[in-house]
Amino acid sequence: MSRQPRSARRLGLAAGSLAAVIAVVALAVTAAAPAAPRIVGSANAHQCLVMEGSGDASFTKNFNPYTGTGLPSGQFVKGAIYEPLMVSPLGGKPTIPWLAQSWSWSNGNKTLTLNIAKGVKWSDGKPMTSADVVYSIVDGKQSATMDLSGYARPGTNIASVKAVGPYKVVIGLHTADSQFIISTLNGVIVVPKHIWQNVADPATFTNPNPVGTGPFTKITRFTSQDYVLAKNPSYWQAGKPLIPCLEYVQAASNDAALANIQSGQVDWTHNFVPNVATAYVAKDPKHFHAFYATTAYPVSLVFDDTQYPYSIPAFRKALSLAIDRQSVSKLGEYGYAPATDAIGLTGLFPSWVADKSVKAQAKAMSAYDPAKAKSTLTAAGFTYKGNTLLDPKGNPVKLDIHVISGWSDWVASNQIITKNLQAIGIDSNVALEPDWNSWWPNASSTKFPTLLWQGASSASPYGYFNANLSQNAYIPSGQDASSTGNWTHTYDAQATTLLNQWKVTLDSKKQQAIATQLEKIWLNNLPIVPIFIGPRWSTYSTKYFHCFASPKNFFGDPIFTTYPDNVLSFTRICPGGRAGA
Amino acid sequence: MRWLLRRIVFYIFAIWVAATLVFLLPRLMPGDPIGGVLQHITPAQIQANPGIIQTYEALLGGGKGTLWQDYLRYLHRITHFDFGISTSNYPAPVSDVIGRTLPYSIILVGISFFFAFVIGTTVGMIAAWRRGKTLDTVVVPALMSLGAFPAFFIALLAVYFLGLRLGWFPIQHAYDTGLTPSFSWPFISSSVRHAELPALVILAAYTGGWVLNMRTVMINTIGEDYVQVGFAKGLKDRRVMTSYAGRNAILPPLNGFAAQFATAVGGVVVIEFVFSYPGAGLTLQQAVLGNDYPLSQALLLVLALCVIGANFIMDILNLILDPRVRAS
Repeated sequence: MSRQPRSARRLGLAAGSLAAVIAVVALAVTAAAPAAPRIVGSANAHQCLVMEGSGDASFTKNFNPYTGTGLPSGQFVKGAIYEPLMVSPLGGKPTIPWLAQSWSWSNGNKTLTLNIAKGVKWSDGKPMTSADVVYSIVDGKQSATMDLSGYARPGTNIASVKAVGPYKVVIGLHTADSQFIISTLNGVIVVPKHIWQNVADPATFTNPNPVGTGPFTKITRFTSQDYVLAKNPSYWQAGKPLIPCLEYVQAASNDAALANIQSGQVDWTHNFVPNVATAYVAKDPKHFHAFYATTAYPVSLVFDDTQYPYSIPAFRKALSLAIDRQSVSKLGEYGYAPATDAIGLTGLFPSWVADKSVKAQAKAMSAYDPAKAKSTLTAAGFTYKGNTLLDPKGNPVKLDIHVISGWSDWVASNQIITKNLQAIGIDSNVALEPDWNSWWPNASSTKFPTLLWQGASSASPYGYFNANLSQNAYIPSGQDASSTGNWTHTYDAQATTLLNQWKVTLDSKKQQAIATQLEKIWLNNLPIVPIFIGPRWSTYSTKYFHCFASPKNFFGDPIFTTYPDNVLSFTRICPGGRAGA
Repeated sequence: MRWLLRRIVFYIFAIWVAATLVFLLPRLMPGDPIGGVLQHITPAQIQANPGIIQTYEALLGGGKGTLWQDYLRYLHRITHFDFGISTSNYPAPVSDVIGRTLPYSIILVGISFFFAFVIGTTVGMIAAWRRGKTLDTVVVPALMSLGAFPAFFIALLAVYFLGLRLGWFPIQHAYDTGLTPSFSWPFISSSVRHAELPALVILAAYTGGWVLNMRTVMINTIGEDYVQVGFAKGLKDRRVMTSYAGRNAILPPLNGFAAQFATAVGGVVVIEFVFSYPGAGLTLQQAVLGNDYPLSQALLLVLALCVIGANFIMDILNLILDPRVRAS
């Protein structure tokens, strides 16, 4: 037994702590030496195209295309296993025939005849015929969960769906509908009637052995942290898909997800990577690419337009003039999200804003000009008491913008916007919400001002105008507007008439003319304040595969969970590494 | 025996309180399960899938009752071991999700926490016995400084330096991607590889506490008369240290084991998150964020039962080790 005086023991303690600190520092110094990040443990020979998301829980098997979309296992079941009749890609590109090889309108554009591709087989060997297509459109009658066409919903525009022989389907509509193909049929998947008609409860069915026509139908492995969909050997498009399999791996956090792409272990993701040029591309400039497609709808500042003072159009126009969109884009969005004009279609549908004076006006209304914003306000009856803006009723104007605290780019953007609004005398601050659940219920009903995206079809601007201006999309104030995207809770009678005309017009010239009139109404009203384009994030590596959607090879939405655009990627991505693009 | 009976009644009460709390806690948070599912979907996906919100509302929103009705239904269900369907893993039953993830946590946490206790008390015992020697002046303070950091912080450092920079350890998942769980050598060796770093972090974070605890008690015990008696009998140094001083000194740390276990269970949630380790901790984190009431309440209940169970085992061990408790 040894006994020591106390002071010596204390000295020993101090020495020990010092040693520990030195050890940590030494480790830090050796580790700080530049070394390429490495990940140990992948025995993967990189046969499959490896994809990831972020924030995934360990995987649960659910390959049901109707209920699995929000789960890691079901994200791209639509597209990989089940296919569309046709693909209307992002940005109004021409519709590409798929399981329907061609189609024609007749009977005053109220009858659509689809010619179904011949020789298509289900992955269980049975032939795919018109009976399956009919079933896939009307299956909402069997279960509301399956109702992608809206056939069983009240007020449906589909009058009848009939098979004529094995390769022809005739769809009758109540009224002509120019949006039927690009926004209704485009979202339908074709499923095998012989399987699904026997499913007792499609809402709880997990579809463990999926049978589809798609390029990747075989589940060759499924564990709680990764799964593989292998090529459909009897795929109907000769020679496709070009790659043997798709693999999806779990990334529980953003950090884990970033480490996976930096190491090259994962080829493709749609996570937002801040400062992507140094965080990702610089790790292997030849092969690592970021395609942040700006062919997209704007992210806009939205509010309940029935509430005072948002109900004053001049107030909304003044906000548009007061916000420095260029700074928001550069500083808030890392320069990835370009600023928009006051209509907001500059990214997705520039050609639809054809009228020169409309274009110029939209530009002018979005140009940063605080002085003009102030004069717009005073002309509309607003007054200033010192530096404080008072509304025509004499109350100080307050405008807090709510945002989820983890969405760093939106938080930064909102900080700039609120500074801009403070500069014209509005009491404006960023209100941080801890998570989605605190933010979304109030955002989707516009109980407070917020940045929000547009939910309309990306194939034509019809849906955009419809959501913001039409009575058909109208959702009363205070209610969740996410079903139609009518965040403003208002509509315009004249615009409703125009949109109804557009809906029944298949003539593109007439549609263009209507669009111009709608744009004029839009600029007169400015229901929402478009700020910047919400890019479609895609980071991909061409180390093992190429032919991804890229600026040079832009065929559709570059995000692999977007149906039906993803089927284009799945059938076009080709094997082999290639430097560049 | 009366003492044991009293404890059992107390534990039943504790379980009821725990079950009620885990029912209430998730429901006090803002939002609902639908928002929980949707937050996994990017704005871009919601945009591309119009109608997805309605679909999930129809699937998950049905059968809304008052809080009180829900509570009674919940009590009835858990007494029948029916935990319902996990909304964030739709439509998998909660029991499946827990059955899949809990074993990873039990093995990782159980083994490393046991080792932290064994190593910690041994080091503490020897350090007290040989005060001022190398072990006492270097190892004890080093372990204590490590233990002073929160576990997640050590985990982040370990991931960055040992995993990313040096590449000595895999930094995520429970086994290599490409393997299928089975009783085969490649799988078992790979899962051991993946458990190494999280286990090291747990050791680093929790050993220090035991060392300090054991060392303090041991120093007091060394002064007791019966230890001197041991020496007087001419017993070997080691025999006196383990059987005379050590056996008596271990009682307070052992009692603390259950309390420490609860802290460790909390720390594991964060460690599993940092390592993307597919155990119950990560699942709980995801379930809470996803407002998955059935899953989070079941997991919280399981964790509460673990702590209560640990307490119960400690009570019985006490009964065996401490004659005074037996006599009362």
